[in-house]
Parts: sequence; structure tokens; C-alpha cells
Amino acid sequence: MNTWTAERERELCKLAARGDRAALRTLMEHFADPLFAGVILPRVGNRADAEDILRETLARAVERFEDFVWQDSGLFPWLRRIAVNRVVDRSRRLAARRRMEESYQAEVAVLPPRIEAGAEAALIEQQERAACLSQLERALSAIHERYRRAIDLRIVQERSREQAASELGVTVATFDVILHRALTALRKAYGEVT
Amino acid sequence: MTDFDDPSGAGPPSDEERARADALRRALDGAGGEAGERAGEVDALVRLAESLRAASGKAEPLEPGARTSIVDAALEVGLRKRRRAWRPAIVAAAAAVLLAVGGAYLLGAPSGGLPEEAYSAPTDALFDAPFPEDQTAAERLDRIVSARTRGYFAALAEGER
Repeated sequence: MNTWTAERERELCKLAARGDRAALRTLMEHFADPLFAGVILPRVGNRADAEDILRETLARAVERFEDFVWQDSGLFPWLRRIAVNRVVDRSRRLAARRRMEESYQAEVAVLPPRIEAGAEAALIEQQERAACLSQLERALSAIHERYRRAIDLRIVQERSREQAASELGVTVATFDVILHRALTALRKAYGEVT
Repeated sequence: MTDFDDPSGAGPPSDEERARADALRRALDGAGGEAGERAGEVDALVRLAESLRAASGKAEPLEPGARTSIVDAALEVGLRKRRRAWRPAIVAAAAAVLLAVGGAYLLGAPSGGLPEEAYSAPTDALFDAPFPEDQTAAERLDRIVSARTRGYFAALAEGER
């Protein structure tokens, strides 16, 4: 298997711009994971929707590859912009999450590329997830500590309801109500920080 | 402090709130979607929880089979749209070639038949290598028309010199 380098990425992009199917496939397969796990899924929170958006993103990239202009940051920022725009389109269709949608649009416009061409897919994914997580953490820091703890135990640490309830010193039925309140509060705070 | 102390001062839950909490629990456990007026709220909260899981690196990665089928479908759709975008230009160029050749023939064809230049070269001579096996018939046709159009304009430019 060839190592992924900036030179290789650039050469594949040249071939892809001429419609070379094998080069397009290699590029799309390389960037599919960081787009899915780092960019799309953390924003839409639904696997089926995220897979649809990934498919639309890659199809759009294949269709418009001739528009791509090579830069030192490589192909990923261009693909990322298409993906975030697709997320915006999707949330617009759902007529929901208006503030997040505006935030994503601002993000597309101002976010400087932090990725160098030739970067490993896993590194790109990690950086993208960290960016999303920091936004969610800002929202988490705005809610009550007890709510934060409930979300951390059940959602992030994936503890069972019984374990999480025990950690908080409440019954399981009470924990369900606390988690519902916690996520409702987080949703409100997320809308305010984004 | 009671079980339900929080900054908003919310007290013990009503029956309705308990029902909403239960609907959220079922949805988080993957026990099916919620119907009725609670569906929108539950869906939004589940999506938020999944976003947090994904950003924390807890979501399952894309399965290799799913990745392959997504890339296959994207290539199919993307390349088809790309060819469709080129088609009007190719058809216009091909029509221009036909008009020019036909016009030239009507205006100046010698009585003994067409001059040698009016006959096209065999398709094999247009390309250095055989067509890739995974290329579709439409893609091959596009390449042939493009090559012939280029050849025609090159010949035209040559003739003007």
C-alpha cells in the first residue's frame, strides 16, 4: 500500500481532474472516513443522514472536480466545505436548528485550513472531531454541573442507566428525568453558543 | 438538595415530563422512533446525544462495506452529471464539424469524389493506448467525439496558415 504524501495526493488530484476514475476512487475512499466521522456525523447526529450526506458530498466533488484548485492544504478543506454546505442544506430542508445552520455557514467562510496536504486520514478526523467537541464543551460548560455529569456518564462514558443513576445517587426513573432535562438544557445552550 | 434541584428551580416532574423522559430513554436505547407530538423533541435530543458521542470518538466508524458502496454510488452519480455537463458542448462542436464538412463538400467537391483529407482517420489512430476496461460506452464515445473535434479544428487551423 502506498504511503499517503502531499506529492501523491497532488498527483491523484491532477488525474482526477481529467476524469480518471481510479484516482477519483482512491481520493474519495481516503477522505470518506474523516468526512463522515469528523465533519458530518458530529453535526447531524444520525448515521443514516450522515451516510446520505457523505454520498452527496462525494458525488458533488466528483462532478465538480475540475473546479478544485490545488493548495498546500490539499484536497480535504475543499471536500470539507462541500460537506458542511450539504449539512446546511439538510438542516434547511428540515427547517430546524436555524442558529446552528448559521454557525456552520460562518464556519465555512472563516475557518482557516489546519490540515496540510498528505495528512493521514485518522489525523484529519481527530482534528475535526476535536473542533466539534470544543463547541459542544462550551455548551456543556453553560449547564448545571449535575446535568453535565448525567450526560457524561450516560452519553460519553456509555454507562448503563443503573450505573449512572447510582453515581448520581438517584433511582433509575429519576435519572431518566434528569438526563432528559440535561439534554434539553444542553440543546438550548448549544443553540446559544453556536 | 433534592433529586431534582437545578438552577432553573424545576421541581419534581409531571406525568407528561416523565413520559417525555421515558420516550427519550427508549429512543437512546434504539427501541424505535417516537410518534406524535413528542417525536420532534425526542429526535432533536437523540441527535444531540449522537453528535456528542461522535465528537467524543465514541461513534462506530463507517463500515468498509458501507464506505465502498457510498463511494461507488458517488462515482456513478458524479461522473454521470459531469458527462451530462459536457454533452451540450460536445454536441455543438460535433454539429459544427458536420456543418463545416458538409458545406465544404457542397461548395467545392470535385466531380471525381471527395479529396483524401475529407475522409476521417480510423478511430484506433486517435489514441495511444486501448480504452480502459472500466470505461463505459458513453465515456468512450465522448472521448472519440472530443478527439475528432480537436483534430478537425487543428486541421482547420493548419489550412488557414
